[in-house]
Amino acid sequence: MKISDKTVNKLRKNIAGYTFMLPLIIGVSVFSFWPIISSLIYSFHKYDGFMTYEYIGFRNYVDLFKHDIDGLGKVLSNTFIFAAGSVILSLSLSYLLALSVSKQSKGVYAIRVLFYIPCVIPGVVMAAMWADLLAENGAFNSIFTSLGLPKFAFLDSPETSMITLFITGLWGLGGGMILWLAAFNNIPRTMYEAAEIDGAKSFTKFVKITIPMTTPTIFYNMITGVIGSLQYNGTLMLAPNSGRGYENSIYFISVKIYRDAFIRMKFGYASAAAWILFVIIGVLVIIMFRTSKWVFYGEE
Amino acid sequence: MAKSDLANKTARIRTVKNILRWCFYVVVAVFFFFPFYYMLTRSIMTARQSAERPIVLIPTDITFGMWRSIFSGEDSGNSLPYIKFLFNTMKIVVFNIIFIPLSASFVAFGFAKCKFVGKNVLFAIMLSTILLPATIVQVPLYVLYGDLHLLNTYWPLMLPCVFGGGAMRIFLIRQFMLGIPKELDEAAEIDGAGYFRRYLQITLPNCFAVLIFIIVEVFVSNWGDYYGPMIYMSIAKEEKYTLAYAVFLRFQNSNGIHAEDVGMRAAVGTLMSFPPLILFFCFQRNMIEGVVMSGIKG
Repeated sequence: MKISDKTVNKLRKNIAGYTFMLPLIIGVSVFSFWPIISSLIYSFHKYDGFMTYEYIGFRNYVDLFKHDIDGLGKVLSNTFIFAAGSVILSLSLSYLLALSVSKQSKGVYAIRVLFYIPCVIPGVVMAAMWADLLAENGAFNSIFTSLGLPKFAFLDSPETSMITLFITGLWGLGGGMILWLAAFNNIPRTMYEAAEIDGAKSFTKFVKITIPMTTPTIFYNMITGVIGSLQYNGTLMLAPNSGRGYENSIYFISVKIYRDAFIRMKFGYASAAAWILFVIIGVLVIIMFRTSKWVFYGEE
Repeated sequence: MAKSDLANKTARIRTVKNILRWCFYVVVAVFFFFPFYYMLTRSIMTARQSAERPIVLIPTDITFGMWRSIFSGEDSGNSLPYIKFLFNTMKIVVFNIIFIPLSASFVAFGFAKCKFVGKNVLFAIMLSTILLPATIVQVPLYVLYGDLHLLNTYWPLMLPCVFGGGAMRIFLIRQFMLGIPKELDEAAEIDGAGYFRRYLQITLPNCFAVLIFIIVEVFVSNWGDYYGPMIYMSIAKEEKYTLAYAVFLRFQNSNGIHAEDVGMRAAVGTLMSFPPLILFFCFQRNMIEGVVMSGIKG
């Protein structure tokens, strides 16, 4: 039997393609698929990583919802409040920041670079400095006192802890700003010119052109923002009470999973909590995609 | 006459607007820069001066004691061998900044330039891994590394980078490769260059801009990674700590400030901030354009 040249060529192409895919296929199998399945299996076991490995059905899940020592409900509601607040704040404020530096000029370019710098400084370094800046007797309160303002408790009180996280989040706005600038750049100049001929004012142009044309980026940033903020664990570095904040006021799910797994050595229990987080993220992302009619992908 | 009056008026309004705009820039820039400036100045201030209230903005009582103890590695039991930790970090970072761009671009080439059965399915699977919370894979990976006797070594922080280096990076490079003119690749194909040669000699050199972006971004994220070492190297000997992990352990959520601590913390923080800052300044065009591209995909 003779194999045609065409078939050989096709085969060769497929072999080449899969050669390039090899690292990915191994990587996804070993570092994503296998761990997900394993953690699902662990979540039905009592497992301490060493000796104990015993099947207990849904006990971990029941315990998480009913008898969790940290109170899963509180941890989840903290996480949701943080995610909602930080996504809304960081998207809207970085959008405004980007608008303020969207005009092209040499000086403005330098300003953009300056605004981006806090994103390059390592998180642990920032966290170490926040401890000094935010303390009761720290730099910010010293400045407040000099200005005749009352002191602010920042992370030292459960009521102000969450707000403090939103405030420290402001230093990361430069990252979002850059993405918005890219989106602005992609809007064809001719659209604005046409609107100007029709006598549109700058506010109209903003509402009718800039916002609709940047909805794909808004959507993208919302998705990545939600995924990222639900997994936020930066409090490990800067929150008192071993990353939980006073009265667990800023105790988030990822920190809980870390503590359950690596401090309390309850691998099965932590895996169950991780699966709950995974399902929450999955459901939210699906809802966001289902309700994404407002995203404008241009007329094709 | 009236016309030039009007022109004058608009010019004046524009000047006022510009001045207001630059005032805004300066205020925001001061806001963004303050923590870094605070750190920089505390790293060369005596403990007495940095404890003063109201805070001193311009250091007058200067000491290089903290810097000296960092570089000599000896101090009143207060300091750790930070320079050693810095080199430990460098080992991991260098490995990552070599292999992530290579393996990510290798896979990206397959997606951008090859035709094969199941490409779209694989692409979708790859993108779906972005949704996975890091916490869900960390326990099984910990167990795996334990079984392989790789805990408390650097391997858990280096091994994954050989296998594509993450969906986002592959995606970004693929987007860039799609923008390279097809003719280049086709001409090479006619000349008889195989896939592998086209990847190495045609496509890779043309991806320079995006690769620089990836290298800097990988550097920044590995450089500051305390979480990986915290999990995989929790009972390693102190001499194997990375800089970020050491800084984390030493200064994590410490409430109550010890005046002597502020200076040391600031000096180590400054030391740790310089490499990413220098890299960023060298390649700021690539960085900002690199992020620009990742914005396009939306």
